[in-house]
Amino acid sequence: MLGSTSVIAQKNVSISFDLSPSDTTMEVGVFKFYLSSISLQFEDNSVYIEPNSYHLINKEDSSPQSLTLSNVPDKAISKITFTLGTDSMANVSGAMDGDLDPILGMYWAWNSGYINFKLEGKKGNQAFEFHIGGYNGEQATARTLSYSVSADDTIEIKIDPSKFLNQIDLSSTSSVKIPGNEAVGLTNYYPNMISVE
Amino acid sequence: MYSVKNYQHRIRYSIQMKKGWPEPIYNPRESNAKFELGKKLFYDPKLSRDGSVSCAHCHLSFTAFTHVDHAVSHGIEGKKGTRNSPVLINLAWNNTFHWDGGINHLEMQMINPIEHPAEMDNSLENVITYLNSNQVYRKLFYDSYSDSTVNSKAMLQAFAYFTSQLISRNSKYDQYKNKELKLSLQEKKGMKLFKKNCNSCHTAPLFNSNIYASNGLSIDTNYNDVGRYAISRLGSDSLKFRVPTLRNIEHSYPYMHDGRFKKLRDVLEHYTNDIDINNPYLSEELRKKIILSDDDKKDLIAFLKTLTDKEFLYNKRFRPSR
Ligand code: HEC
Ligand code: HEC
Repeated sequence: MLGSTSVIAQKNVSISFDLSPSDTTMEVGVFKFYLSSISLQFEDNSVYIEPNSYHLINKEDSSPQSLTLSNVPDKAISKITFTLGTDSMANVSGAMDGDLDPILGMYWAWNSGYINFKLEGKKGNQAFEFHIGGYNGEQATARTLSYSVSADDTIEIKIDPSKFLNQIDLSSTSSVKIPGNEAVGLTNYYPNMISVE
Repeated sequence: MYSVKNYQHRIRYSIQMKKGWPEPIYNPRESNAKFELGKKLFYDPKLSRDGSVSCAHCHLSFTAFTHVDHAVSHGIEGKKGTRNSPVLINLAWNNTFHWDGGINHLEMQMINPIEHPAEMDNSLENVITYLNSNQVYRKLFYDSYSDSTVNSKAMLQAFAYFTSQLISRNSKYDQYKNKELKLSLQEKKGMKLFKKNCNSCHTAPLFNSNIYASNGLSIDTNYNDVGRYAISRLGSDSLKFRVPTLRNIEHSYPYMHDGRFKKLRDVLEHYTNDIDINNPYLSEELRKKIILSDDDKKDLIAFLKTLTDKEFLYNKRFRPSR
């Protein structure tokens, strides 16, 4: 190739998830969510943006929950940014496949849009169901979060469903399954349940 | 007709422009294979849980793809839904679907009837498994997508293709607009009344609008359908519904989201005498009483009948292929 750009070596970066609840009185039935728009910042402040970045992470999957970013410039990583949920593009563009396939049980038919985050289970005798979604204007529930990391080619994201649940008074709110204020309010509890190493 | 850009790329879209009409919102590339595939899906009762209910069960071609005589739709095992099945006409120009506008894309509408417990009561997963196990479908999917493995995206796009081609724009009214024929004096009088009282919402040439409005119906106490509010959660949207098209309205009785009116005469009775003015969100233009004499009503109905499009209603292309 002509020109002066030097070829930058590339690598794969693997992101793994630990989704187990720290509170053992909590029984998790379903725990699934979308992670999208992943980007990495390097120590030289340049940025890698994953193309077509939509991942459905499911605690039930038999294989360990992880995903791989490919063709990442081989540089030290200082920050990771991702969206918990799906952007409005994914919600308004018609039929999708891959992780956005509506067959995967993360789509509301009657009120078009993805369920961004689904947590169902029991704490003691109290059953709970949280299906958080909504993409439009004030109903938007996708949350973009950034974490400093010092990583080379593996990143671990710990998402502890009990830390989400512990912020909710289950005696008054145990089921939210439609877009709206309540769903938006619940997304305020996301940051507390996530840590990145 | 092609726009210059499309001509250069030699892409032929399925819906051609027509003078006086806005551009369609959904306009896939022309594909006879997708039309035939979408049509086969539309008429296939095997997509329902017990093999008894196809889309056409509630959307019949001779009646502008609605279910006449049923106020609310009847699906699997005769189960009743809560809403009147709407006509399927000129869907390619709509930006939302369903009476409450809850659906934001034509391709996503079809998940609803497939999964609805009072419609086809199946799962997307079962339907995809069935299609993949059927050699005829596999071939048709191959013809459309160069891939015989069926996924939900391909299926939903095929449904959307067929339904987007249900285009009605050759009614007597359209022929009059094209100067191919004249309207009678009565029809013309009716057209004037329509322009004055109805066109602000049921706007020509589509005779609908992509807005939500309350046209003064009182809430139906059987279903307590709050309309748009269920989607937007805004108090100001209670009892508002999407303004439906009036094309082929002569044939798509009964009327309104809950099918409460059997005749066009009943509809006019509503607009002239029964508007619920206590509803704070009633549209402004309906607050002022509409006064129509008996003759006016006949004239207005005569005009509404000019929106009947026989070519559309009896189009063999929309009927099952043999
Ligand atoms: C049991 C009756 C029934 C069956 C079967 C049925 N529908 Fe419908 N359809 C309805 C009703 C009722 C609505 C209105 C729903 C609402 O507003 O909540 C509707 C709405 C629609 C709409 C939206 C129209 C608009 O203007 O908003 C489309 C498109 C449609 N159906 C296509 C289909 C297709 C394709 C199938 C087969 C996969 C199908 N329907 C099967 C009853 C039915
Ligand atoms: C303020 C807007 C508005 C105006 C003005 C208006 N309509 Fe409507 N119309 C609607 C809405 C909204 C609906 C659907 C209501 C529902 O089902 O709850 C509707 C429904 C109808 C229907 C039933 C359609 C169907 O498929 O079931 C007919 C027929 C109709 N209107 C005729 C008229 C006529 C005739 C006039 C003039 C006299 C008129 N409308 C004026 C908003 C309007």
